Amino acid sequence: MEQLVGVVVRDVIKGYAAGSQELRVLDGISLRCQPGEFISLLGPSGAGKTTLLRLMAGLDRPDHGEVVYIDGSSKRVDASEVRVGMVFQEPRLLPWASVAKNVSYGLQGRAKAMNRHEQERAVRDALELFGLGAFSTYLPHQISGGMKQRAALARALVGEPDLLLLDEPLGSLDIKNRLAIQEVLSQFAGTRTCIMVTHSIEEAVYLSDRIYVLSDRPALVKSEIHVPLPRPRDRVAPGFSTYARQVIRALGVTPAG
Amino acid sequence: MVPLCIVVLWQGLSSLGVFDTSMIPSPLSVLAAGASAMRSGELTRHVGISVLRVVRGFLAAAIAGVTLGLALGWIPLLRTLIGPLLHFLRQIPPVAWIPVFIMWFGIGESSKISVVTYAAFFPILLNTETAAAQISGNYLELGRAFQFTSFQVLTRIIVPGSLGPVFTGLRLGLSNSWRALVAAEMLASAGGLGYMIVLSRELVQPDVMFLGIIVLGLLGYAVDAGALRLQKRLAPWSLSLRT
Repeated sequence: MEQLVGVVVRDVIKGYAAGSQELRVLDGISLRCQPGEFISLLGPSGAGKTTLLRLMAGLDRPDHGEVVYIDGSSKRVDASEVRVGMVFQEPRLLPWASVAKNVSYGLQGRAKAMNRHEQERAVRDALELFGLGAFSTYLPHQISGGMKQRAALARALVGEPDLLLLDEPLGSLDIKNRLAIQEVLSQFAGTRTCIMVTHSIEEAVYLSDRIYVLSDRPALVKSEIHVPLPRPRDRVAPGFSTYARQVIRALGVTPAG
Repeated sequence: MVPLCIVVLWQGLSSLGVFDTSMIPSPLSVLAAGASAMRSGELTRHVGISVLRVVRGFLAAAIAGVTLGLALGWIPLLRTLIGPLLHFLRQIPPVAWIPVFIMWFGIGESSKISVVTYAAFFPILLNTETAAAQISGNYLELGRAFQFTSFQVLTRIIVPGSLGPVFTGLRLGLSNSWRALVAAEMLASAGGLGYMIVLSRELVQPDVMFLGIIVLGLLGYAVDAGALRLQKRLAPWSLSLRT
């Protein structure tokens, strides 16, 4: 069943063993993403953004605190009922499977309700959406880095996930592709819950309903910025730069001159 | 090109009388022995016997080696439990088992096929196990992120991800098969290329002896080339750079 799912991160502590010591990456962080909301996580490299995303995806467990999924009325939703679409920093396409096959692996539970023809159609549509229609039979080593990342996005979206987790998904794309994919992602705002780790302030303001600016490691929420700009957004509108400046200030960057 | 040059040189030196033909027969006499053995049907018979033994022994080793290798690679507990025993067994040369297999299975086909299976089994097992155990954690994590079932992890990640090294193991297993088979046929057989070589020594037919050796090399080469073609067809990614 199609559902909008939110995520609540409450007092989460997470550390990793570094030799005989513990490297604490998250130290009591709390944040919330409402169902259908698009939020971005911005912060310095190594702050723990990826760790936070992995906890939200259920790939790791917190040492303390909790990460729970919620529905529209803030009731808990069991993790087994939530379809998560994940885009890692690197594409992680299986080298032995064609681009179409890789994308089809993102169908997850949705595949059960579809016959073979419908599955093929869903995969074809996802490939077309990301401009990969002509490359469906290619193996990953036969396509460019940017195309691989687009295939990873197609794989994350083909299953119509309840929750889309994006770890710097556009980092490896050239500017033209980056803008094109931003358009695709902006279409999901309001209809799908998205949490995106990014280093791009412009990307965060263009796509997000809210932006969490995180501190250096161990990560804590330094600032929470609401971006109530109407959609579709205009990057050159005065309001856009206002929010971008807010993010810059929250990051603690002092403009030169 | 180089093998052809060697044969021409070999023939030239033989014609000049540099080699003692009772020790090193000329290529032309080996060729003549081959033509004669083909006409009499002897060569086809020996080749047929050896090939059939290799096919039967190797297939058994391939099925057992790949299955057990995947299981060992995937299930660490199994590796802990039976890994040491398997690594002890693989240190024993297959030839050492020939008397044992003859004692157990008799002088017939079973003992020869068992030696082939034993010889081919370990390289297949070892390569498959290593490959399955070393599948990138990133891919397994991908499977978790996209909620693959255990069966899907096996069929989508473990098996295809291991295919490259599995093929290497199969090719090593094939060449081991020939070595072990010839040894077994030399010790206890009344047919096959190993037997043909031993018999030619007793009958003082160095040309037939060299014929047997060359046919073994050609057969091994052809089978290996076939396996490589099969790998290119079934697992082309395993021959390309993984990026």
